[in-house]
Amino acid sequence: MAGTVLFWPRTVLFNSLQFLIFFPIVTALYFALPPKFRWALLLGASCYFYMAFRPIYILILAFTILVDYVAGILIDRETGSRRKLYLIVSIAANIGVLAFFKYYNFITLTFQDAGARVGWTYPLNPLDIILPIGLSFHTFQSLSYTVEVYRHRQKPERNVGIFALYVMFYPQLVAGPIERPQNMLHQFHELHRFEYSRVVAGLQLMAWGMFKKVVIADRLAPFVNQVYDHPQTYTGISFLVATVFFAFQIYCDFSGYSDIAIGSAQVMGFRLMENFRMPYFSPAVSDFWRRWHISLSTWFRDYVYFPLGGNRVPFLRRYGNLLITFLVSGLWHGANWTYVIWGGLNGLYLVLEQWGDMLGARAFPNWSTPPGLRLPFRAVRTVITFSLICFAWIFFRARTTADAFYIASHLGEGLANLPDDLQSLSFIKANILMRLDKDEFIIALFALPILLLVELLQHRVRLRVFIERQPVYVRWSLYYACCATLLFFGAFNRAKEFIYFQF
Amino acid sequence: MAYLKFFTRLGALVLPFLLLGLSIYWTDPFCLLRSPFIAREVKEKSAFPLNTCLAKLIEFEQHPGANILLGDSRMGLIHPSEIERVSGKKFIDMSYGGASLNELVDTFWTANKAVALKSVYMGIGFSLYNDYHFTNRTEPAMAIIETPLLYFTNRTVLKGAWYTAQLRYSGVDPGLGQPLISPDELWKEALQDDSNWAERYLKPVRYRARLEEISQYCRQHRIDLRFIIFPGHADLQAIPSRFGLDDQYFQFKRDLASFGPLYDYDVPNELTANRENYKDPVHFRDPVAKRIVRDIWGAGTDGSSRSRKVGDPVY
Repeated sequence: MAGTVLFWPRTVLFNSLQFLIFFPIVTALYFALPPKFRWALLLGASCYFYMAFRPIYILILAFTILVDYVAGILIDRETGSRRKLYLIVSIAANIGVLAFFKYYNFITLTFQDAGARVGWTYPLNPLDIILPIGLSFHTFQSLSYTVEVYRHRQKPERNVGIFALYVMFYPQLVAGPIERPQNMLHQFHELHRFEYSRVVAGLQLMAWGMFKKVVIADRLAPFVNQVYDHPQTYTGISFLVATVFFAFQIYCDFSGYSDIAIGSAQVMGFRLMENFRMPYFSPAVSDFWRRWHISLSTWFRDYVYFPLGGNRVPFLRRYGNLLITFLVSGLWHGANWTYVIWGGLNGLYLVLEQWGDMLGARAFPNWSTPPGLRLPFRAVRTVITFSLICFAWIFFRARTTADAFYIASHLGEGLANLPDDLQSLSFIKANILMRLDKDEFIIALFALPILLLVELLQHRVRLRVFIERQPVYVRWSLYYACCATLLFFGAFNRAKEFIYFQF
Repeated sequence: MAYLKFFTRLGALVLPFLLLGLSIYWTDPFCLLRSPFIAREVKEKSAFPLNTCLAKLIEFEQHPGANILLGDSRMGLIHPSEIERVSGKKFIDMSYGGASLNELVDTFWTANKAVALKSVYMGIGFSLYNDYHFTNRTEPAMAIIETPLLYFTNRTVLKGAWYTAQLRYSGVDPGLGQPLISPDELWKEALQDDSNWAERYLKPVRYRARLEEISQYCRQHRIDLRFIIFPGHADLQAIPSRFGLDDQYFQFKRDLASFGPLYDYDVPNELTANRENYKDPVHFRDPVAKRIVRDIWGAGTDGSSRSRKVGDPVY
């Protein structure tokens, strides 16, 4: 059994035993090998990592890689309209693969449904398609390469192996961060030495990411799943608890993945881009989107929003561009109307926010918040932003649009009796603990403030530097406490895939 | 130099956890590692009640048996020793307090994987036959059995190790499994708990399919599968009506009867009307348990006809 797992695992999740074996072996070999062979090792390891999920799908990656590799060289070589032609071929190939695997069934079912309403039979049927893991991520990363070559911001990569590694570098292969060639490609040609402080910093970041994933996200998941899988059996308070829990679940799941990805790359000497910057401390929705899934937000900004005209167009068209960008972003997340509504809702928030700011600036051109009120104002705005984002998460998490609208319309149900209801232990067990383990709930309640506090401290005082300045016994006590927390409070025995793997 | 510094510090970081792992191996609170240092009887008091599901699944993995009892705490009141005394048959108690049907079904398949089953008795109450009743402790327990490394990182195991060491080396009994509230409060709490299930009744589509699958499998493989509905106190029996679930309640009985022979004790009669027969509305006392054992496993009975003497079926 162990042999099977080691040599042909079904998954190499970051939070699995397989990764605990895979990562040190690959890292040790990386530093042991002469530099000229290292990219080959990483490529081999990345292939193994990807093929652990579904071996045959490596062919899809190979196709994308070959098309974009050749397109990059041809775009660089040619001039005039032929450059554009090669870019279009690259875009069509990438989007074509994405469209087939991710959207074929969605489009077919939508047309079938719409056809049935008007008495027309749509000729195509859904297919049994298993979505390749991380397809949207590596497709976008590969696509950004040809676009950047076309825009003369990146020289084409001549070594097909290194280009393949750029597309499928294992730490960020299945869920990002979605890198740009300018940041990544040159790093595969550089020499990375074993530097103690960098390796330790990388491992610490991995541990922090693991804390977010196994201590918080996987612990919150059962509470969220229970309510969102059976919404009709719950009322307001359960929806509120589950939705706030989901907000933290998805944040910890995804930013935890990003931290492990960035940390594991850092151990080997690679710098991946930051993907999250305390998004739930944002005082405005626009600010939230500058801090949430930064690599995707900036991708859509650079390759969708700006080409549509960005901010340099009349305000009505600008609002239209915003809505289009967010609708496409919603669709990128999943082939389901719930994601489209989620994207549209966030786009609408931004439009209203910009419109409100514009009206406010016109009405009170010289107004500024009094210094004593800045902090309370910011706190209120942060709470409002968080509430809006949570409301949108309902659509992201719900299984169907009907479920989402049911939850959204029953958020306030039963809240008037809440003070009385909370006196009853059985009410709490059924509606807040969702009949799950109360210890799990308590641990989650303790872990969430720790998360927010650490993030705040990290932002204010650069926590790592602060810890390094402490006496040795304080530092080591903290290290031991962190390891013990991870080991004994991590939900390892129900290892879950990362939510964003499905995208 | 950087390598040396790194590995020295890594060693210092890991060492205490290795020692902790060693102490878990030494105490082995759920007997997974077959560690010989502390007797099983000690662990039955100090650790097993912390996670009966884990303890029983480990025990079954190590000593499987062809005849099993599945159910919640009510089935736990039926002693295999009493069955053996009455029928001469050896049964293994695989019931867990507060069990869900998920856990019963998963335990059936787990047991079936380990041994060719001959006889399976499932004790199912109406509150279990509800898709909303979803908890599943067998999954994490099986994960620990399949990946023993998880045994060393499990909080319950760590707690069990601590209690076991305490009991073995300083004689401090952790007093696990003793109720913390008065009998009257326990009675009210049990009724409220059952009401909560009824309030959130979800048609058991999933559970029906899972039981049907087991039923078919048992028929194909000649496994003697039988169901028991234990006698709830009259206060408990009133709950389905109170929540307008009479039809669902009788459908539950019809469903079970279609899956295999059914012993239905949950009917209004003298036994279920008498509070003296119960610790709380769900859990009957030992004389009732013995009566059920005699009734089902006693010589010369086929059980299903006997059970109807306890109360007339109303479906």
